[in-house]
Amino acid sequence: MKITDIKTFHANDGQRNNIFLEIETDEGITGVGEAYSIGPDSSVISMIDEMKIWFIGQDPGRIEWLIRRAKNTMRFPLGQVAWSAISGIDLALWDIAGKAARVPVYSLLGGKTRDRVRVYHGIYGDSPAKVGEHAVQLMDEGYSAFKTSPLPSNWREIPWRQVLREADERMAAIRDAIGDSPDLAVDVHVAIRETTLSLELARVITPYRLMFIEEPSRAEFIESAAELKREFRVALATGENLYGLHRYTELLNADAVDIIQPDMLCCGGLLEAKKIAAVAEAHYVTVAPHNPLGLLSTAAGVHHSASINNFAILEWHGDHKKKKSEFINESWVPVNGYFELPTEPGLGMTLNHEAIAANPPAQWDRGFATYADGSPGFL
Amino acid sequence: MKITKIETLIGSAPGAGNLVYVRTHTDAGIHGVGEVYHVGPDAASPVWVEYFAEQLVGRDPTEIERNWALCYQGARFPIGSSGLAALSAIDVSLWDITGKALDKPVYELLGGRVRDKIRAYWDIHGDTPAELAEDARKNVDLGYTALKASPLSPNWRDMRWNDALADAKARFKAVREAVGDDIDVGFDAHAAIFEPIRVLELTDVLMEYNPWFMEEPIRMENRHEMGKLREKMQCALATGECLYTKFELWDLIREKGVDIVQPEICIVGGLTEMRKIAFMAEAHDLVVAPHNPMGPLASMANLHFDAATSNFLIQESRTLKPFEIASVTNVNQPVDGYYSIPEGPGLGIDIVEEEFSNKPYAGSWHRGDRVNPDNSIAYI
Repeated sequence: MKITDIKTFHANDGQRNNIFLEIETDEGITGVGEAYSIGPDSSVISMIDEMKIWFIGQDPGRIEWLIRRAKNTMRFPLGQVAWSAISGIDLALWDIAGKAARVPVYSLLGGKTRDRVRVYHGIYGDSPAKVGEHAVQLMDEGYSAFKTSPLPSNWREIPWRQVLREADERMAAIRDAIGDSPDLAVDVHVAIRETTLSLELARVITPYRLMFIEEPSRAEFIESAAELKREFRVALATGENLYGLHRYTELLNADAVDIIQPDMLCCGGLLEAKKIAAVAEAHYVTVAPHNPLGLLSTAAGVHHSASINNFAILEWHGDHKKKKSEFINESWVPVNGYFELPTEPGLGMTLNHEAIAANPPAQWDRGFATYADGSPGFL
Repeated sequence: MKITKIETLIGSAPGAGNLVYVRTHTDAGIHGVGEVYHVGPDAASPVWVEYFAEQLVGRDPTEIERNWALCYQGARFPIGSSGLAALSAIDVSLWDITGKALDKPVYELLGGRVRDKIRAYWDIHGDTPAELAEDARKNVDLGYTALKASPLSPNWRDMRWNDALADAKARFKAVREAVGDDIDVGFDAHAAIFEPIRVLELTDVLMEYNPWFMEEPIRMENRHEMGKLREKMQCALATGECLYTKFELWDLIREKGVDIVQPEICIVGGLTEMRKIAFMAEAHDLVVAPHNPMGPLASMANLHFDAATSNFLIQESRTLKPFEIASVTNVNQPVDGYYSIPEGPGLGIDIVEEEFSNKPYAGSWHRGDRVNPDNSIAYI
């Protein structure tokens, strides 16, 4: 089998853009993938368009060779654009391999290690009471694990002592609403630079018995996470901002993490994720894949989670109820907080080209966060 | 598809020791094969295979990771040599079954092949410098560009250390004179030297002739000392064959005790564990050269690993004995210093059962004793 073309698709889902791709072959099998929507999205599309000549004419089954070769020819360390492009291509190559072998992708990654994949659901709201209400509503749908922000939305503009007080009240209100039993995680989202502040926050919210605190330090400097882990009495989760086996290994070797969170759309794809999970396993670290983007990201996350022994839990945002679900012909809905494993060959999802064409991409970026004095904050 | 039976075939041939194979059967008529490391008390291996089989019968053979975890985690206490040897063979047999079920060579289940051929090094032997040089020349003439030898004469334990060093230097000098400067020549001290400083002295006298690597320079139990030794050793350090699972290999890598990682597929935990170790090595910019002293099933499983692994360096190779060759339907052997990529489906090799009925198990195998001149026990 030979690759004949790689096509990219870019669609707006009402909030941000999704970047999809299809790898076509001379045997009529098409593989679908998704790349991370990094903000300046067209750069990822351009990257895929420009690198596709490295893939056309080649055997799509040689995934390690194709990806290794592409990485090596770029010579300089890959950044977010190239890692996203490579990840999307990796997903599509595995989809082809699964379809060619007529098995789900997890069957090509050592086989399934579990019968279903547990998810945690993001919970949102303007007030802590609203966040709690959202969780209670999701509990009725069968979910038993949740994640929220511990910080009030205006935290950059108010005194830190007030932030801590409101964080405490916020967690108390959520626990009041959902009770002690559900798993509850919080996400600091690399927004706090000072480890002393993160540690103070952790000490305030740890009594609420958290599943993990996510990204409590910036991703650039791994020693910050290591410092926090030495002090934390709660699990530290991080990693979505890292790319590739080597950066994850730095994180793991620094004893800086309890739960890693690779994103299938930018960590390097399914093969890279398998490698990362193996290194994590040797460090007694579990894996909770990051999963905020399109539905194909969920598919890749489910296949990866199903294929490793050190899986913890998969991120999920109820995307089957969102506009982005139109871009995918299939609908995967968790039952009692778990995804059943797909049984179709490949990843098990296909693109709805009409819906994608009907929703052209819009300029999208994250906007800017600022402190009270007008200086730029992190987001 | 379900596993219906896992059986051990064990046979003995004079001069060839024991061969211990595993065959896993399924209700789909597909079976898979694997080789058990020949640990010495080989009668223990079928017992372990049966113990695992009791848990695996009825399970889907293609769920390789889950089946591995079932066996490994079910044992609770860390599994030692016999148990891991059995688990390794079963794991390889499951990859063979999965490949056959999908009609693909095993390497295609590992992300596909990254190379067109697989470089081999040949183990050379000789009691004297002249004999060693002759074996080296013979194999270079056959096309090998990489060789490995013992650095020390077989009776080095009876020699004074400075004489053993002088003899080691004479051995390498003779090899260099026979094959020239362009051939890669590694050395295997085989974990037989107890004192790290002696290995450093040994490597230092060999440096004049540019050794490729020194393998198992000291014992494997103390990974911290291996790391300390590597800081000072002037050539690449190769080791790992005596370590079990990714966890012990990680210990070695963390101690910076290795340049060339040499896991043994038949004891480290099978192909599943080989892959994880290769990924850890890749993350630390290390290369992998699989240990391979076992029979043809082990070689074929290694070749699939070699074909699919980017940070593979070279494959150990040796002369297979007649019983080993007769025990299988076919086996790739190196030509001009390279193996060809194995063909599937699965591992692309099967067991010839009659060879085992003709050569029943004749008892456990001992490496023999090694003693120092004062009759204290040496390492082997």
